[in-house]
Amino acid sequence: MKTKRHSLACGLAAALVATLALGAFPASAQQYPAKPVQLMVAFPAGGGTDVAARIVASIAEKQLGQPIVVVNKAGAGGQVGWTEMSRQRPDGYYVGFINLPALNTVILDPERKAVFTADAFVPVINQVLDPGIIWVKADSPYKTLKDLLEAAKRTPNKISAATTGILSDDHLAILMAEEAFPGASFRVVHLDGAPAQMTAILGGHVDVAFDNVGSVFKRVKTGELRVLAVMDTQRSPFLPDVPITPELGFPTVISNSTRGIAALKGTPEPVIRRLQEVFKKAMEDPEHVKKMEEAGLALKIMVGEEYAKYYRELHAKAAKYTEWARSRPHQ
Amino acid sequence: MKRSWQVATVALLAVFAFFAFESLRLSLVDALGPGPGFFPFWLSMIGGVLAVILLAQLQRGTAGVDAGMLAFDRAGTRNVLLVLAGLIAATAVLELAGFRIAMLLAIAYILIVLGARNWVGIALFAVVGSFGVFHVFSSLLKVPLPVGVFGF
Amino acid sequence: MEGLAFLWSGFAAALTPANLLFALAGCVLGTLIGVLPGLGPAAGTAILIPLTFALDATGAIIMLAAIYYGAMYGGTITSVLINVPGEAASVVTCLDGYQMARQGRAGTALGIAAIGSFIGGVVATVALAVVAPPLARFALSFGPPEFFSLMVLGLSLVTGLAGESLVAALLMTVLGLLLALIGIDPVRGAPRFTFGVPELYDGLGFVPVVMGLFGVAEILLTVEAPFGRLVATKIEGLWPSRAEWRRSSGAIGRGTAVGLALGLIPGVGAVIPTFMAYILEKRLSKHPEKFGTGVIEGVASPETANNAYANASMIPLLVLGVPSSPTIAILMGAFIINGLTPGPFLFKERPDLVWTVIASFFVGNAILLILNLPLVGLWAKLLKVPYQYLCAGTLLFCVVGAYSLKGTVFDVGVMLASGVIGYWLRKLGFPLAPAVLALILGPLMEKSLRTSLEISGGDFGIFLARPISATLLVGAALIIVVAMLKIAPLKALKTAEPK
Repeated sequence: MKTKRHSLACGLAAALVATLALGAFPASAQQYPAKPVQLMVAFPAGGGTDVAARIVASIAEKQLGQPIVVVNKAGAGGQVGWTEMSRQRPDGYYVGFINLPALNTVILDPERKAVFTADAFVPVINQVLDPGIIWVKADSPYKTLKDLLEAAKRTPNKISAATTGILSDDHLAILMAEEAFPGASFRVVHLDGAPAQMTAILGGHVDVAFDNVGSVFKRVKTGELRVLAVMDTQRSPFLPDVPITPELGFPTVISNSTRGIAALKGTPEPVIRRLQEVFKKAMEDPEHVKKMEEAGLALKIMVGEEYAKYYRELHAKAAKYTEWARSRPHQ
Repeated sequence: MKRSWQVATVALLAVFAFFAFESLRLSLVDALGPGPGFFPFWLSMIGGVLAVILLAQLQRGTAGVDAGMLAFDRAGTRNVLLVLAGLIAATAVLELAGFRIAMLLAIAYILIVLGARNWVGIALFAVVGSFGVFHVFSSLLKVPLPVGVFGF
Repeated sequence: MEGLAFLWSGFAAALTPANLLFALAGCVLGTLIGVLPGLGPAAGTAILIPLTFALDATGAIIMLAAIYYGAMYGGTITSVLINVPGEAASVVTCLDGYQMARQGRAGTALGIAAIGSFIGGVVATVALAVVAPPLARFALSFGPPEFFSLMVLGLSLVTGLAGESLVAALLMTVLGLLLALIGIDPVRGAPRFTFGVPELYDGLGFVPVVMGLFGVAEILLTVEAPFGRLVATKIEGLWPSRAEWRRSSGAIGRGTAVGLALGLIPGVGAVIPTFMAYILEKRLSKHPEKFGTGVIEGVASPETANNAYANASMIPLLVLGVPSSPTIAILMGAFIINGLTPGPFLFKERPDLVWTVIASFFVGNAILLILNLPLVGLWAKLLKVPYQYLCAGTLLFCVVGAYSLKGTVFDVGVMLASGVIGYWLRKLGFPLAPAVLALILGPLMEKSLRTSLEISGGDFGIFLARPISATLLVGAALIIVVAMLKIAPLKALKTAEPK
């Protein structure tokens, strides 16, 4: 009797262990995706990244076969969300949007004490590339970018330039502009996002704003503001009449903000490929294209190695300017 | 009453000292105006001064102290400690055991500790409060509540 | 006044069955979201955006706006019934609203809140319809220095919240300010007092702290002495007395003014108008010491300010295209998804849409009133359940609320810790309100101070050089001086405290 019970117990124990062991395997051992996928957005609901994420997620999940749940983990300019993401399992069930160069500067700035490094994330596919712009109030004395830079040289550290956040792409762009026009220096004012810039400039509190096309292009029509330049290698389809910095003689002043999806290092290759396949299709979907256009967000789909290369190059570039920003006597 | 206020004020003083100390580790002033430690440091100083003033007032009896409810009775304190213990335990295991289990147990525990004896009522309330709420939030509102390690 | 002509056709469109339905649905959903813990108008509105994908632009915006100010009202319900602020702006209502509920007057409190909200909302919408553009232009003159001075003025009003001990109130204020500084430094990006805990990078979190200080602490106090704190057994009449009506009408008027004025300034947030209105009311009252024990003006004032603010904050959005707060930003996101850009162009490009939406604000406020007044009696009855269930239910409510904010248990922990601290402070008799005000003003103050200094290149003189800012600062100084003068002679008269 005892032996029978004993072997029964052994058998049950073995079965239990086996079940637990199977459960411990990454879910990708089964067909991916076997359950809903979480798509993390490191910014608040309703913002640019969030809106674009929700649009693409709703289209992509039909392809994927499982729901894609957009999860907002906002805070500290993205750091809270990316920190949370870096602690997840690399099984493809928790992916997130990365905003560059915001992510880069969080990693590069020693004061931020980021717990993750650049290679913690694997770029999967990029969605949006929002070129940087420089704009002033419509009745501003600065009619061209040259005017502005010359004035910034004549009266160094007097002309106030607004960014949407410290070490944002806008901030780095200001540094690039100063580098390209030696002697020019701005009084940098860090505001809390594009709406704050709008009130600051329109109210006459700050002289010039460095921002991105998406935030502003629709207001150009109203005549309230004047865009001095787009910091890109080609003219923006949303602002076809605005000159680009290379045309104005400043080919090194190229700045933009990108948003794309990344997975964690160690995610199995087949999972990444599936994600790329599904999201690429979603991004090319006419409905997605139309909605992005209405929102003024320029699509720039970069997949896999192309995106990874962009990521690496941007990281190096950001490193240089972050270093410079930190060492300037006046930021 | 006076003694308890004195204790509380000294505790506040300790808090201010802590903040002041930590602020000194961040820079107070750098090339562009105030650094991250500037405000916390001076605020802590002001707080310290205020705390000392209050202590002096308490000593001299001019504090204008509000009547609090500083009375303790054993049954009351027992309840508070028990309920608090239950809450802390529930929070600690919330992500481990999952919302449903943790809340089921917590609600039932609190009801019983506070003296409810209608077992049907307790069971119903606990189930609705845990499983019911979980269902509403996850299915209808799409707000995920913790699911335990057992996937439940 | 071509606006009026447009408004007329706007009403015609707003009152179509479809749009009426959207407004109604929005009000109902909004109230529910406001009642539900933690979600708050911001998260709730965001969740419902996909819903509005299916609707046409006008309908979508009508519904989202209705959700927004409906949620403002929903938060009131929990503040009054269980001392848990459903969302940040309802904190002040806890002070007197909950006390009224304990006296069996929950119905009256909720009722006056509904009426005040309606009036505040309507007046604000009238302002939007009639004088929006010049108001908005005025608001533009508020730059970072003016904002800072406004915050200083707000903080100086703390002196109006002091009970017997001004020093204790100031101490609590300083504590609140320090706690508000926890998190990533907004200007330099360096984490402060976070001990490497990433969840603290964005600060303690106003909502969990306040839910703890008020809701959880109240539960602990109730649990300790159930019979001392329970509701008066009979729920008294729903209508306020005539004297109360008189006092409330003044409160409603002043609350509307405060809410309207502050709603124009982007970035102020919904909490500050409620505090300012409440303190103003207390200062002007003939019996200020009664505030906090359940006076009806203490509910009428912040509730009116709240809703006036919510409706007035549409002005910067529609006229300037600038969202006043994260919640309005979500509303703006909804505009954008539907292919519309808020801003002056919207008025010129789609006047039909804009005026329909404005007309629907009137309609929505009315619907809210009609919806909620009859329900008030029902809500009040909820308090009659046995206290064990009320306590357990409230705690469940708080836990779910704190968790659903950001999806971390950390916030629940913060709430519990705040609950314990709040319990102690209440037992001792230290005032909580100054700390709460400081908690919300703190980050705004620091940010605007440092931004102002960036603009001026480090020159502190900027605050006095600009007229509006200087005026506000002088006002703040006056308030503090008056408060000190009031208290000093009283202290001199006071003899040593008997043991």
